Amino acid sequence: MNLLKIIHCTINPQKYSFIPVRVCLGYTRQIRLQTTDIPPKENSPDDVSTKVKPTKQSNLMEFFDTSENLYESKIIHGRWWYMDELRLKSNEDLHKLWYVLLKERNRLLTMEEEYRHQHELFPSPERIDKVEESMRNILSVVRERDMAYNLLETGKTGEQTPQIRETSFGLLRYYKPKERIVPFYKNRYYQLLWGKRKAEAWTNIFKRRYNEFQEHQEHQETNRIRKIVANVIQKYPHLRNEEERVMEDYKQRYDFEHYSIPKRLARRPKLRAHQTVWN
Amino acid sequence: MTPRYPKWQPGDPKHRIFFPEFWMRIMRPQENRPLRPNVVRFECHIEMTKNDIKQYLEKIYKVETLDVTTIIQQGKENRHPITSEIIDPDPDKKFAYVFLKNETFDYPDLWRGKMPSDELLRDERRMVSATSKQNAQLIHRPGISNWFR
Repeated sequence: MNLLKIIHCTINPQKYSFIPVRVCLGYTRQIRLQTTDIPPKENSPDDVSTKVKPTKQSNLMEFFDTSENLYESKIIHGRWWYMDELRLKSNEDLHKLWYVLLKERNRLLTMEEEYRHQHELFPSPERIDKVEESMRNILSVVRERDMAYNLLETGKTGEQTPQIRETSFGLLRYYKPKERIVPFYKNRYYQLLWGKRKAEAWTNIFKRRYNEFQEHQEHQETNRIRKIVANVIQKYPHLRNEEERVMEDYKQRYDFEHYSIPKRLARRPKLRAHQTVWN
Repeated sequence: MTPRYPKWQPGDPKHRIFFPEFWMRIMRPQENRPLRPNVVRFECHIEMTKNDIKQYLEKIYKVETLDVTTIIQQGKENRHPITSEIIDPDPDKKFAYVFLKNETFDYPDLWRGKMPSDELLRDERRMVSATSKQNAQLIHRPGISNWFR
C-alpha cells in the first residue's frame, strides 16, 4: 500500500512527467517491482482517448511546460533509464515508455525555444540529453530481443552481415547493403560510387605487399605466443601433453586474433546500437 | 538519431512504425508573417514528410489536422573571414504550418508577466543598495583622516 501511495504522490504529470519513478530515490527497487506488475497510469497513451477532454482545451498544450519550474535556474530531475532497468520491462511497457519520452522531449524542445526567444537561460538543458539517452537504450534493448528471437526461430540474427568488396585501390572494404527503391544498375549515384571500381593491374604489386605485411604481422603474433608457451612448458613440464590448451589460454590472455588486421587499417562498419536493420 | 523506415516490404503491408524517432516543437509565429487562428507553426525533424507530420499529430497528440505545409530553411554557412572557407555551417531547419480542424490555437503566455531573470535583477539591486549603504559608513569621509571613524 505504501508503494502505491509513493507512486500516486509522485505522479504530478506537469511537474514530474519526466521519469516519475526516479524522483523517489530511496524507493527505486520497490517501485521497479511495482511497475513491472502494473504500469503507472500516465505511461499508457491509450488512456488519453478515454479521458473526457473538453473541446476547447487543446492537446497542443502538451507541448508546453505549465508548472512552477519556469522561474527556477535549476530544475531537479532524475537520471536516464539504464539498459538493465529497461531489460526488465515487457515490450508493451517499453512501447508506452517510448511515447512518454517522446512527448517529454518535444516539451523540452519547445521550452528551450521559448527561453531562447525571451533571451533567458534554459534551466538544466541536460534533461534533453538524458531523454535521448533513454530512447537510445530502449532501441538497443529492442534490438537485442529481436536478435534473440531470430536466433531461436531461424538460427541467424536478423542483422546484416557486411559484405567485403574490393575498391579501385585493391583494398578491401566493408559494405553495408542498403535498401533502395531503384535497382543498382539503374541507380546513378550507386554507379558513380561502385560502378567501375574494378581493381586494375597496377594494384597487384600493392596487394601483394599488403598481404605480405599482414602475414608478417600474423607470423610475429604466433611466434610471440609460441615463445611464451615454450617458456611456460619448460617451467612446468607436466604441461608438455597439453600444449594446445596452453596455447589457447595464452592467446586469450594476450588478445590474439588469428587474422589480425591492425586497427589503423581495419575499416569496420560503424553500426551503432540504435541502428535497426530491416530485412 | 536518423529515423529509417523500410522502403518496401513483401506483400505491401500497412506501414507501421513502432518507435518513431521524430521530434517536433511549437514555434512562435514570425513577426512579419501573422497567422490565421487555426494555424500552428512547428519546427520538426528535417526528414519528416507532410504525411508524417499529419499522422504524428493525429495519432500521438490526437490533434485533428486539415492540411500541412512544410518549408526547409537552409542554415547559414559561416565562412572564414579571410579564406572564405565554410566553417561550422548551421544546420538546415524544417518548418511546418499545420492547419487545425475545428480548433484555434494561440501561442500561450507561460510567463504571466514575470521573467526568471527579474528575480536576479532584484537580487542584484538589493546587493548594490546594501553595499552602497556599507560604503557610506566605511569609506573615508572628506576632512577626517582614515584612522578616525
